[in-house]
Amino acid sequence: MTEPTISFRMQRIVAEVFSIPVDSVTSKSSPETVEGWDSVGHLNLVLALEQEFHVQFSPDDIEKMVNVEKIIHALNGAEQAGTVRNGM
Amino acid sequence: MTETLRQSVDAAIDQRQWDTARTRLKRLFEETPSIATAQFVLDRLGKLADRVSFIPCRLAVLRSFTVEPVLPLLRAAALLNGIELTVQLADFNTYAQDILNPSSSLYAFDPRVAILAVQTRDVSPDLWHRFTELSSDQVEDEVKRVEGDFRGWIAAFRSRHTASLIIHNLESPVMPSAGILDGQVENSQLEVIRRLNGALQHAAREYPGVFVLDYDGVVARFGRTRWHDERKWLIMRMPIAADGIACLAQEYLRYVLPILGCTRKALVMDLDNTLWGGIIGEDGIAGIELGPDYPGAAFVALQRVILDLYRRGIILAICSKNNPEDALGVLREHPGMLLRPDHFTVLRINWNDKVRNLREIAEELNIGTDALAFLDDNPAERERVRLEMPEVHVLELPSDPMDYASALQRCAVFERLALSTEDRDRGRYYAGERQRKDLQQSATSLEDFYKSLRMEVEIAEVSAATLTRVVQLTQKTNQFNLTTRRYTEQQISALAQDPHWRVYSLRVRDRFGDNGLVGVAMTERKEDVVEIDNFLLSCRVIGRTVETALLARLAGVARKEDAKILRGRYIPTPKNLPAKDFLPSHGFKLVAEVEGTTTWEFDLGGKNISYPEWIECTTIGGAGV
Repeated sequence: MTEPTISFRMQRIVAEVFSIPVDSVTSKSSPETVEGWDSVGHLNLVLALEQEFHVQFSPDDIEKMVNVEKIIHALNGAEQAGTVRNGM
Repeated sequence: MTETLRQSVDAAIDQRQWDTARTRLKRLFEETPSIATAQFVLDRLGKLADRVSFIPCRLAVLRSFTVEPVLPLLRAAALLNGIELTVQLADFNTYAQDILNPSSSLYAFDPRVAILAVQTRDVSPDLWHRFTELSSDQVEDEVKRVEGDFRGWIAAFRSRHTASLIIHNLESPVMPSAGILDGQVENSQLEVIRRLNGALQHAAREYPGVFVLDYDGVVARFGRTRWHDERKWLIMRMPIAADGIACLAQEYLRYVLPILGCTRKALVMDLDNTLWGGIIGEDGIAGIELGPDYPGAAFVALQRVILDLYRRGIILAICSKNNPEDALGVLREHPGMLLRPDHFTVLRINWNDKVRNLREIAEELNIGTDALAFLDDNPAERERVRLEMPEVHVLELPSDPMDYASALQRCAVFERLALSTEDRDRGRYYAGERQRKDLQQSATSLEDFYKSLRMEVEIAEVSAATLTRVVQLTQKTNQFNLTTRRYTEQQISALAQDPHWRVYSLRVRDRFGDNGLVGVAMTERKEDVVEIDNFLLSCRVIGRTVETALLARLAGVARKEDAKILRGRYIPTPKNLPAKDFLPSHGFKLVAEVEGTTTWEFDLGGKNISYPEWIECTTIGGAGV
């Protein structure tokens, strides 16, 4: 079995965090289109992504991650910036 | 790996294989205890809700920070252990008024468990942020204030409600404000926080059902620096980094499982490559790895943890594919062994299928297979037990034996909130049981057998000394249990004060030793009727007529107090069949049946329940006739 792609893993996480079918998640999915994507839902999503991809988002990222497309953008940024949690 | 597991869950649900789906979900959650997995578990187990029964539990969370992301993990972990949590989450920092105000939503919610999740920086900003500004006297005053606050909250909560209360202790800062100077002065920052935590433990111990959760320890185990996420604390009041969340959920689970009685009674273990390195049948007693040096030290460390569990009252059993004489040779003679044959209640060393052996072990111990946990280094054996016996808790072991000991230590299913004398002496009770079985086989009639046991029972009203054990029995007894009503320490203490209620304990001794406290009966007086609320007997003494002795005494006390009727109920569960005929076989008449629950009455004006003549009875307190 090949490794699932980053965008598939992200899609799956959005689906699981909000208990919706994976194939209903699109690049335009956002708090307006997904039930449960409120402020607590957003925090859960941010933490779920951090757990899955071993990154840490900055407060700016968290504010900007308002739809799936922008989350992918933030995710790439966070991975490139290497903001991996590693203590001191 | 996790993708495959996810797919296998959905495949199992499609094929209506509910047990397999649950087993896979459990593995998936063990593998990746993340928020996404937790939500997946909650979603899929939600689909199984009609097929599987869960124990409901209302949990109130009082807090000073954002605990929301911890909750799906806790709910998923609880659900995988058979508990369905309904959570009431209080607003930020309203805990003091919620606890102090008797008509708050906290008490209206009527929780079974309440968690007070607070941090040092919230309960004492001075100790956390401004420590270097404070004089020694000011520090002393602040410590007194904080201790007084906690004491006040605990006392108020306990006087208003019987729920179990779990309180976070105070965490130490990552770095003390004064740097290394902190260690050189009186009343240092780290020292006063430790002192407060000690005081908190003392305060909690003064009340039943109040427990201090070592939050500081959880943070330290994970790593203080890694634990904190200051960014999310500042923007969302979420202090814990993504990876730490699962640790806190797991720590909560350690309390929730024993509070609800969802723990395991016995640990069944393999031998080769589990208790020692290598295979005894091939390597011989001189060739196996077991001793103070690498790599044998890994197995000694595991045995030490198992010995700790034994002293906690966990029954130990062996299930190993081996020649019995080879394996027993190691158990008896190997100098590196910490565990010896006497530590084990049942030994199944043979070439039979492990599933069959596990069933026999449960039968011999007289406990359900759902009270077993299974420890085996072989992934194929683990997998087979998971699929064939999904009710058994199968421990997932890491690949390196050096990590076995800590994997077992982390396991929440062996947690106990209190230890009774019975727990400590469990091994001895079972040894007596083996001798009883031998005697029964040689006795000519059942009555001869009873007589030859020379049984003595002691029936007493519950006291401070027996409270822990009485509560434990109501929590853990499944088979001989008329109503399976579970009680907490707080509830039993309250009922013991109530003039309408009686809570009796039953102790049994015979020529083979003391069985300890093995029975509980609770009655409530309602005008002319004495109603048996709860009547249960540990499986250890089933079938020796001590239950008749206890029932006869209940009838005797009720008659002495001029009651007309003794009423009992049988509420059927999947496990309490052994208690089904208890009331009718003692002359109780059926008066009602509603949804399987039957109500029975015994006319106290008629003839007595005959007391088994072969049992000598002593009564203490109000249990006398």
